[in-house]
Amino acid sequence: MNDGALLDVRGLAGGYGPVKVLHGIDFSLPGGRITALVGGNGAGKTTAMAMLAGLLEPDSGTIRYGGSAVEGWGSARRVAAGIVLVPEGRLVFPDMTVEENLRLGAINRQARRHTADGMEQVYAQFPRLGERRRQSAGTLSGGEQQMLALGRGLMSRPRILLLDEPSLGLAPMMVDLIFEAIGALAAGGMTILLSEQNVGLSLELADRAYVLENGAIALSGSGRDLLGNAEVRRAYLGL
Amino acid sequence: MRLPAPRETVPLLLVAAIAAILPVFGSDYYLGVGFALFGWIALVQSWTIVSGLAGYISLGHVVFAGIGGYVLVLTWGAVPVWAGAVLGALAAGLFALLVGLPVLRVRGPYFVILTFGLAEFAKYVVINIENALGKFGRLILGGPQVETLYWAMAAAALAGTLAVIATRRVRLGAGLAAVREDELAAETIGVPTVRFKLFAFALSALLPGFVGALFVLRTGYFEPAQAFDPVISFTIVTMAIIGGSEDARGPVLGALFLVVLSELLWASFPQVYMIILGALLIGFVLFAPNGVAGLLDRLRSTGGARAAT
Repeated sequence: MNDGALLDVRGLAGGYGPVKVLHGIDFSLPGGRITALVGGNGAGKTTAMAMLAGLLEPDSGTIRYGGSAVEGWGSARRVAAGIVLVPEGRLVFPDMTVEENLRLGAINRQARRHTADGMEQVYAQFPRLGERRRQSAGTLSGGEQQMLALGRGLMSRPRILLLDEPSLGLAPMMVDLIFEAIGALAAGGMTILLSEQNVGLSLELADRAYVLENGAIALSGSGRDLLGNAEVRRAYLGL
Repeated sequence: MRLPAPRETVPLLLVAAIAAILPVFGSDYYLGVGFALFGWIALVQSWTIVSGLAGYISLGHVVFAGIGGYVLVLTWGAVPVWAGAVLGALAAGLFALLVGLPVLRVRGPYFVILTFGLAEFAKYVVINIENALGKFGRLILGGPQVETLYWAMAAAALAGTLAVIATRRVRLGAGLAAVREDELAAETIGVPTVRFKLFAFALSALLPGFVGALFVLRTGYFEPAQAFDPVISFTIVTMAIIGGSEDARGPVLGALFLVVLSELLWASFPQVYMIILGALLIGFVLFAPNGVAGLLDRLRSTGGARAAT
């Protein structure tokens, strides 16, 4: 296990039945840092996220969180232990109000006690959600829904936030706003795994990054180093 | 402790008031109507736990009533009457636990069809068992009096109403609401979806088992095609559509509406009754998808808005 890693992944492999998406990837998340998992469509980012969140059983590999091996834990147990996924496509509950969505974020037993505090913190971080607290989530803009999904994730009192494609389909201004919020969370000590197709922005924000290609790690390094890497610049940044 | 909301007090008071008033007339007819009404309320409330709160629409809820009735006749004479009825409820709950794991893996229309098929399957299994045993209907002699059955069923209706109210208040209810809206999202926020669905399914089977046992006690005989009659499942869904299934009000309102309507029309105009029922169903599905309870909410909110301006 790497020094100071809160989550450590070794040889993670698997996919959907006969379709193997990941072919044994290694990475680790240092506490209080942003780690980015970047790559194109179909590289396996969402699959890796689903395996970390306990939504998809890997064929092989180990996931160590703190001192414990979490493979075999269901998603509910992982959320309660502090591993929380904000899924791709946001998946807010469209017919429920903003407030109901947030309240449900705190459904695990540990977080439920802190529902009121958590809600206050989320509204402080995203005042726009506070303004729209009685509005149903389906009527929010894409950016607001992403804020809500992030806020709902925070309501679970995570130690590790897994953010799957938070910028997907958002207007550039909203992307900036969301990335700013992610930066602020990390500055506050949150451990974050950011999976993104927006490679440039993610590398700028991330302390460490892994480039995923065809289900394997092609490159890794600090965000800054990868930004300067000729291959990354050509393949992902179009420079 | 939160203060009880009207959506909680209204159905409870309604059931209690009807239960208290009907015996005043002192006629078996009213007790019989009340017995049926409370039976339906208990069935629709139970159905609401899994189909209303969690959104898994069961079209085979009669299977639990049928099992309850069958267990009652099987244990008839061997155990006291009420123990037989309770055993019926437990057997129905156990059955739900056993079939729930595979059945609750499918959603939407597949779940609807699967529950319907399961109930039909159970019906024919029981029919074949009875045929093999050479039994063509079983008589139950010396069951409880109408008035006793009436109170037992009123208690079941009250228990069903309380079950929906309680479920909505606790973590289970919040989790089921998340499952209904988006099951994958529910899983990502940490709802133990499999466990919650299974628990809700078993919970929604217990009272129907008891109700089915009381139905058999009331008619005085058990006949599988009648005890497992799919029309009972359809009626439960119809009542839930007409009354609403978001909270405990809908089942009470829906059952009350349909029982009163059928009492008024069935005897004299059976054809007209079915036509009116069909028209009502279409009307509710199209214009009031949350049933009478939803209509009341809408009236109140527009009334409130008007009062505010």
